Amino acid sequence: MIQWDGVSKRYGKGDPPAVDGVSLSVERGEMLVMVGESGSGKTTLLKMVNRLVEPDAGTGGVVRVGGKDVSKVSAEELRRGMGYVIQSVGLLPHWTVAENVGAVPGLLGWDRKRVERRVGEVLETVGLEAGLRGRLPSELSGGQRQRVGVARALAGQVGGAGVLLMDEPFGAVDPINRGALRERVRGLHDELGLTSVLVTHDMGEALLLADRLAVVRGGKVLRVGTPAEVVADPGDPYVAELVSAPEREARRLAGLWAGRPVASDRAKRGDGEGVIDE
Amino acid sequence: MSELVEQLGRLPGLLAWHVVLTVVSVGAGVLIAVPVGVLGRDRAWVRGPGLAVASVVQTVPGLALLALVFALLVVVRDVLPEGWRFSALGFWPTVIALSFYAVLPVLRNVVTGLRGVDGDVVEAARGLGMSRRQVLWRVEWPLALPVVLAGVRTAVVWTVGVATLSTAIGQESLGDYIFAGLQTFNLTAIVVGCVAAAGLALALDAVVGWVGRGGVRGMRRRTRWGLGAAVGLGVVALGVLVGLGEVRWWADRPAEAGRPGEVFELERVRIGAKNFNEQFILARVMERRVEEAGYTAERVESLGSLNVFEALAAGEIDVYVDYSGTIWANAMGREPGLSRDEVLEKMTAWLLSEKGIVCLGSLGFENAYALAMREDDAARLGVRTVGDLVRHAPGLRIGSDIEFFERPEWAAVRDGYGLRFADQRPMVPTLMYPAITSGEVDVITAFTSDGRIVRDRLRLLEDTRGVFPPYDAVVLVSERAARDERFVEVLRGLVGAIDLEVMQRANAMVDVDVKSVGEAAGWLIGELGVEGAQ
Repeated sequence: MIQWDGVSKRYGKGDPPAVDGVSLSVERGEMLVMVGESGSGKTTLLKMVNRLVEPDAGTGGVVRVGGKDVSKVSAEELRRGMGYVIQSVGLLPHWTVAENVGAVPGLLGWDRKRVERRVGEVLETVGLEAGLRGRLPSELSGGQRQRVGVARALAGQVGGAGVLLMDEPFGAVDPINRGALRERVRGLHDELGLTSVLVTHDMGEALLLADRLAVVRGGKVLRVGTPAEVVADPGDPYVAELVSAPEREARRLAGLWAGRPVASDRAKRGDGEGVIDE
Repeated sequence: MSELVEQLGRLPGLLAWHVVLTVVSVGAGVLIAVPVGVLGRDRAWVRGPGLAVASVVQTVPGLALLALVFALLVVVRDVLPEGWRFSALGFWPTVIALSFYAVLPVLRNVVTGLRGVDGDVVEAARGLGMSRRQVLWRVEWPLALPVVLAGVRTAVVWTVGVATLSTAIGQESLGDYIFAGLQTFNLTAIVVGCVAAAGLALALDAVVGWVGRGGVRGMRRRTRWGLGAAVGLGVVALGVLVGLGEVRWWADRPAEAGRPGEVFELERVRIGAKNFNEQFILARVMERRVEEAGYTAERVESLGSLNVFEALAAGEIDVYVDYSGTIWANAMGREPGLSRDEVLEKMTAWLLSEKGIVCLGSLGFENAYALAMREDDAARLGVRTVGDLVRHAPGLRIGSDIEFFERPEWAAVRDGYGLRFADQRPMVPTLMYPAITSGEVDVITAFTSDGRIVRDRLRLLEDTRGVFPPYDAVVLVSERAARDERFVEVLRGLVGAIDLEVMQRANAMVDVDVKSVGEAAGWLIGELGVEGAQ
């Protein structure tokens, strides 16, 4: 459904490449999670899909969505056809919830009744009360805002062939709500048959959500595979280190249930390393 | 109290003009600043020069800018086709100058506001599939609007202030209170003018502030745009209506009529006056004379010396009184040394050949510049002539009217006698007399027809070297108005009719006895009547 075919991107002359000859694909109905540090190139790859970033010309790189070269489609048309969720603000601060959610249908030229109906539907889908429609983003909690962002991304998508692009979608949500919202998004992806690309720096999140994940570093994709494949065979010391962190956390937490102390307790008692691994 | 009531009686008209000037000028400023700001946001080559020009305009003093625009409009007006010409005094130069002033704060805030919009919000909007234009008008503009409106508020407050200066180019405004008040030292008028201007600034500022708060929140987007469009159109319509009214007014003055040999009648007469009391009195005397003869007259007062001469040369006004020495030294750039009659004769010939202005002759008195000292000081120092002053000047301070130190007469006196004073202080003429009697200054450049010379016991110093030219008060008529022979005859009746003593008494009525200009003019006309009967 989405293909990056030998794409590269360099932002300034003399800068190291942000994306360096990447080829990658996402199947229809799949959720691909790109994981990496800040500056690894994952966001650049994501933005190439809706043409907020254009791959460098002359390198022969192409991005295709549904088999079509995106550079041959008008950027506005392309973007109206896919949902886009970003971490920080993302919502237009001077528009109400209903106006934000109805933005893409409005741009697509739907009549007002149809937009209203659609806004109602998607707000329900993401689990937001209809009473919030008239609120401004500044009057919402972080979790509510993120749901509005997702609702807005879904609003223009009808028919089930939709594409959802998410850039750190849970970054601004407090950890208590993060898990539930993650489940919700994954659930919607499955229910609506979306094709999704999600960018995160949280390996745990990547492992929990992804059908397949791609580890990105220095503009290159180091490892692609299902969570099980990547965990079983990292294939690269950096990838191994990345996946080991959630593993260690998970073991400590599991140990807590088994009656063993976690790291913070151990530090207070001045014990040495490796207690858990014994 | 009755003084206050009298002053307040003029308030509605002057306030209405001030509101019109401010609203139209700020509106025009916004219409210029918004496109430049929007285009300039991402284009340094638009933004840089735009802000630079606006900043430079801002540093030009208000009076100077008004005078420059007037001079420019005279040129522009004369190349326009007949029917599109407009008066280069009054409304148009004021609105043009004030619009220039209003551009800078608005432009600066449009640029700052647009550039200050969060980049993530813009990217999110683009990610939704908005075109550049949609991002600009649906996202960036509304988010920048509070900053833009803050700029508009600044512009409104500045404009209300600068608009008070438009009196100097013949536009009615609250400035009339201030100019006239300063002239006649009428504190009531000054206070009424200042309070009204300050109140207007606060009120308009509050209106724009309210629009800003109500515009960003609370109203439906459609309502908001509708309201904005209505206000914008209203301002433009107001500007066009008043502006076309001015054009119409000008068009009503048939310039083609009255070719030599035809009978030509002026429809409306515009009488000019400089910014001091004698001029106000004489303007009223002329007004009464021409009205009695059946003309409709209008006074344009408080014009600067140069403005009023240029206005007559350009046909903006039809008649005013000037002084031969002023024209001799300033407009003609001649040296002193000729007799009173020679100056008058050569000046009359020069005015007609160079400017087409007809000089009807002297009213019968001179209002000359002369150096004056307190009688007791002069006696103590033994000063009778300007030459006697040279020795003492380095220890003395001289006060004068605002333009004198810029005039060639000052250079002539200073260099002719080798005068060097400890300090030079320009001030409005009315304040010179309190300044010398209270000892703030020791020497002033008095006017010989001034009634206060006697009251304040001042000694006029004799100009033994004849450095000052003669200053006969002369009636000057524009080329166009001079074609109306009856009009010229009416005014010619004033030639030789006012002697120095009568003029001094009329001036003293206003300056010393605190009578109104109208009363003094009435008294002077009565005196003329007696002479006319002889």
